[in-house]
Amino acid sequence: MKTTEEIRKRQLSFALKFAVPYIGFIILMYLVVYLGKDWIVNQQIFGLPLHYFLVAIFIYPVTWLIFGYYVKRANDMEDEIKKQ
Amino acid sequence: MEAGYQIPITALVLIGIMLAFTVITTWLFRVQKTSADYYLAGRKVNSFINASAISSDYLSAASFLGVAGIAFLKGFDGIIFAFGFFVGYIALLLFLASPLRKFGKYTVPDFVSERFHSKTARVIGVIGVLCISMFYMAPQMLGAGKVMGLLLNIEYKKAIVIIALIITAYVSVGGMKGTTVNQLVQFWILFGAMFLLAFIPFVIKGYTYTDVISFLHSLNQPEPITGKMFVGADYTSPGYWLTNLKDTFSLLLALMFGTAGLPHILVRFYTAPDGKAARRTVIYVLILIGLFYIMSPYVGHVMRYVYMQADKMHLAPHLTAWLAKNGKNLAVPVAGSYFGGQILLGIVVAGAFAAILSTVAGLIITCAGAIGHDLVVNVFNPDMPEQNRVKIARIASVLVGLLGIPLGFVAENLQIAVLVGLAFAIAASTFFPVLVMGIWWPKMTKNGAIAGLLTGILGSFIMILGKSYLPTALQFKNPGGFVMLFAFAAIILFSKLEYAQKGEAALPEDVEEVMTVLHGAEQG
Repeated sequence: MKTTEEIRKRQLSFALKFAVPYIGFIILMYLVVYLGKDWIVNQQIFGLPLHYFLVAIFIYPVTWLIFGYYVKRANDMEDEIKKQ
Repeated sequence: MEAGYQIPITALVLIGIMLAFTVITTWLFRVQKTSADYYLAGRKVNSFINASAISSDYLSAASFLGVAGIAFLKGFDGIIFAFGFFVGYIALLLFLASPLRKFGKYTVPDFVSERFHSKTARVIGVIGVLCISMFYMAPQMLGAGKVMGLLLNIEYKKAIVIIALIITAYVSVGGMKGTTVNQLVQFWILFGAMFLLAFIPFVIKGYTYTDVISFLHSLNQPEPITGKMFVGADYTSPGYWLTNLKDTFSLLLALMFGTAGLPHILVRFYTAPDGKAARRTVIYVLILIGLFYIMSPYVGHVMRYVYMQADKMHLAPHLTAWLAKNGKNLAVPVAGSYFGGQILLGIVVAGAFAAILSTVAGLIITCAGAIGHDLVVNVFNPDMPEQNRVKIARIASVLVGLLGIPLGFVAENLQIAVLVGLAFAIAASTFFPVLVMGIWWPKMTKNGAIAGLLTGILGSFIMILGKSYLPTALQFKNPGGFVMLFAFAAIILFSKLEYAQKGEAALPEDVEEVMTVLHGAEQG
């Protein structure tokens, strides 16, 4: 049987595996948008300027998918802990 | 009343239906046997209903009217508001939602007090909750008085009194159960209104996002009425309003982490049946508010598109004047009137009314918990019988609700941006660090918790109210993210100092047990 300490560490490392890349991506996206604005305003995707596409649309479904998956895995982990 | 404007009958009908529904649900849920029933709806709220209620709590008048409004005014930079509000739920999902629910208490100060066995921490927590909630409530009441007053032709103070009385009545009688059911209905009214505002121009009129932005980007002409020069290339580019990176990030961090520290949002996770349901609830919230935040900036841009061609697009003169004078608050009602006449305007007015009711109700019940449960019961009279606790909860709700009236009156003369800034800064720098560290770091001590709470509250006040005395490098659009780092540092430093001094005795005796509750398997 795992100790609470091991479970806590496992949960934290699992949460950080999602948090670090996601927040890193958000910060990177903003740096690209605000520091590279002269470049980004001239890029288009599906007819929309790239900065609008990223910040106003794209990020939402991507977040739903990533964290929908997170919730599923985290709840599976919860069931596994319960069984153990 | 403004020339050319008529109060929409649909608004009166919808608000009437909403109020009738409120009366029925409040009556149905009037019996509250325990304080868990009153504050937490018996901890049995289904994830989807809870998500709708949380979204409704969160999408205040400021979001309903303001996100589209800021996009109308500031173009691309306005979108950062929508996005920051949305991303805040990620921190909540990853680090707080499930453990907080498993802990199974009533309020946020409950957590700090029970985790560290400290009445001082509870009292500081209560101060934090009251500061955040009051600073958050002031703009809601201002919105209620100004916008509802204008749209329903009611005088400012009268509008505030009417709204405060309605909310106080149903929150104090219906408790969290009644409030949740009402918030569910209110959410779908405000969401439906925003959906129609986006659907009609996008699908029926064919104004695609691409066309609207490409038109605005190429525009270089004076605005109607004001004659102010509109430079479309700037409006559609990053940096039009948020002129430096430091401001952009400070605002983004405060919105992100402030959301995860708002007590009226956090308390709703205690209403979920278990930790897994709490996580599911966040995903539903992300979908609901995400859809809302995709639509609102689009509506703001569409209104800019219409406004810049007011004559060509036959925008009524009084609507053009509204946009010129107060586009930030009135872009959404103008969109309703322009795209759907009196019927859609009525739906939008009802949506704004629903947004105000739901957010203020959430704030009242949270403050009532802080005063009734944390202060009166846990600090002054821990042996109070259950039935009396419910009475105290109702009395606290009435007092907080009625406090909204003077708060609304003085809000007219207060700097609302400062109040909202304070609310988010305190939330980001006070509760978020203390909750995250309290949940995930077993070696956090009582002194660390108190130091973190005090750093968050005092640091936010100093950095916002004393902004002009600080060096430029320390002046932020919102200092929440910056103070939050200090709060984390204070928690670590004071915990380590206490641990170095007292050894294992510095840690609460039941820390292992608490960690098992927070992270272990749930019983039942």
